[in-house]
Amino acid sequence: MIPLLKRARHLLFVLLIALFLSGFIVFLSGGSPRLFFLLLYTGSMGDKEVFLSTLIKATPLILTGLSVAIALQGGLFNIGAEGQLYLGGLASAIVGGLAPLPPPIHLPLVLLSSFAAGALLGFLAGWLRARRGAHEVITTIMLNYIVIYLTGYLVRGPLSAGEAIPKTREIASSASLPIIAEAGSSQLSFGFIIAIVIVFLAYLYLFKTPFGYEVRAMGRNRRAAQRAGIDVGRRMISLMALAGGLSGLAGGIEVAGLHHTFYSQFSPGYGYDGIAVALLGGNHPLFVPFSALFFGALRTADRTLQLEGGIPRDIVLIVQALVIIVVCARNWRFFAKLIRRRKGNEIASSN
Amino acid sequence: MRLLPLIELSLIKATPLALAALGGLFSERVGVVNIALEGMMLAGAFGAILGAYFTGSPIIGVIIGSAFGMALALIHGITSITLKGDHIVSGVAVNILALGGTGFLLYRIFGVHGTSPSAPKLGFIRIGGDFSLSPLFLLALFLVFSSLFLFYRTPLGLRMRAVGEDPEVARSLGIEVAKLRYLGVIISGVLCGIAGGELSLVDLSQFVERMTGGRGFIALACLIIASWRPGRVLAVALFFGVADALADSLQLTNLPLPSEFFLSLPFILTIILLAGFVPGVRPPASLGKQIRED
Repeated sequence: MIPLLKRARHLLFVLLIALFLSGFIVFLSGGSPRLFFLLLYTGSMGDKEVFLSTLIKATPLILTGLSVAIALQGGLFNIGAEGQLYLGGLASAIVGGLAPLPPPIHLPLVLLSSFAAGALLGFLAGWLRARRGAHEVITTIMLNYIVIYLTGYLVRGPLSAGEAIPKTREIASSASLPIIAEAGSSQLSFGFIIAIVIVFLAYLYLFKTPFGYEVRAMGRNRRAAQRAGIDVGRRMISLMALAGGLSGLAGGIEVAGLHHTFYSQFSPGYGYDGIAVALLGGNHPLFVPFSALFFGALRTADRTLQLEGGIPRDIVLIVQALVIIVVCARNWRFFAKLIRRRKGNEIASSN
Repeated sequence: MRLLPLIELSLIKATPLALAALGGLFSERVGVVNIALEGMMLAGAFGAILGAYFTGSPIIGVIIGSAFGMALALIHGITSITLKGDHIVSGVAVNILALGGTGFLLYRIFGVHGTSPSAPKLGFIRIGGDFSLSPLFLLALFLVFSSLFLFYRTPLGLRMRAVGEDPEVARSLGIEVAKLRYLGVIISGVLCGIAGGELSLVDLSQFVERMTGGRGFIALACLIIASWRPGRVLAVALFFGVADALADSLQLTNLPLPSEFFLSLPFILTIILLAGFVPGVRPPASLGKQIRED
């Protein structure tokens, strides 16, 4: 358990630095850091309504975070979570719009279709990487744009519900996830429980199965894994498909649990947020929910920050970027060295 | 369809791609992966409007834009060179920072979301008859040829390439590896900043949130397809420019295809090109690798 404790400490440390830096940026732009932190708190956990909203926003983030995290465990960078989420959302809206079926059949079908749609995109990126040598970072980014344009066209044209806002028809009630908690305008669906269950499944998969072991071996040292007889190409493809599926499911739960329809510009960037969620969680499935909760809180507080604090909602993205930078920086000793050198100079000049 | 306007449009579309891809070349040729081209372009586009709006001079705008691109490049450099972070992760952070930073400043400075007020446009240079060119296209052309000269005819260029191929050997020859890596990354920021200026001050005369719309990533694809060589970068950027211009003009005809098809065309094209065998693609050998501490 010691590595887990260490990881938790690291996560808190990163959060504190990133929050401190963001407070500093607010200060530089002429705002009040105290108000910033206060509104961040009241805007995301101040009452039951906003707290539920934080959980609602954390739900897709848990899944896209897991998606990025498991791919990274295998040494692959899935930047395509956003596109996979869109395609998953669209698929579940289509299946959910079918004539009402018995809920025990319809609902799983909806969620499975979203998983399958995302997995298809992940599979494509994995195949391009393993078999054609096209780097997954580039192809998943390209696929994001393609899918967002494609779904935008579909809900404007062939799949349009015929209303002013381009969106699909409402899904049947037999396709909706049940609501488990409610306060004001916030309705938390059963999707949150599904996401938490999947966290544990992802943990077991990565750390308790031979497949997961092979994935992690591949992530540590691809060539050594290959020498050890692991079919790296096949693992890459299935890993990307799995990662894609998780992001697709995030889209499916958004449709079945929250929006009950799919519209263009469906996600405010939950797929990209997934990158920060995974990195802050050290790519460990068990830490992903905590970091998703943090970014969900940020996304929830952004309204309050802007309306009551005059702090542009884009501060959320800035915090995110800072978190990523702090996590990705390896050579912190550089600063220690710099300070030591400065002190050395002072001593030298005082002599 | 008349040919001359099509060529004109192609060159307009190709200019930001060529500039940003050339920027990426400077960074990657010294071994630093740069997927932050998109973000540095976006920051450049914003800086250009800021400069042009407050000084009334689009030329100063472009200069401020390149400074904005450079500032982000510096962050990418510090994270990936000095702090030895993963280059791709750092690039992701810079892209997000650009997105959030431009939105933040847009609201703080102009009090709006989405679109900035208009600023004076950078004029075209008329080259006989009806044909005119963006001055930044000429700049891009000039920069491509000067970087050919720099990389293949000067000691500095040779050293930069050496750092990108094998930093250890380069160090043993007395080359200051980290410094040259910074130089490459910073030049990439300046060029991407100018590319952003082309978008906000030549194509339009205002800044729109997310206005780069993935062009930075297309520029990155140009760079890969061009196998990290300046001459080919220009050729590939021109190819994408023509494709983009054709898509634009086809959109105006009555083809039964949705606009989204044309918008996603460059991305589809990129995947096909990357998946097919582009002959002779070889990245700089130390691309993405960390350098040892001195």
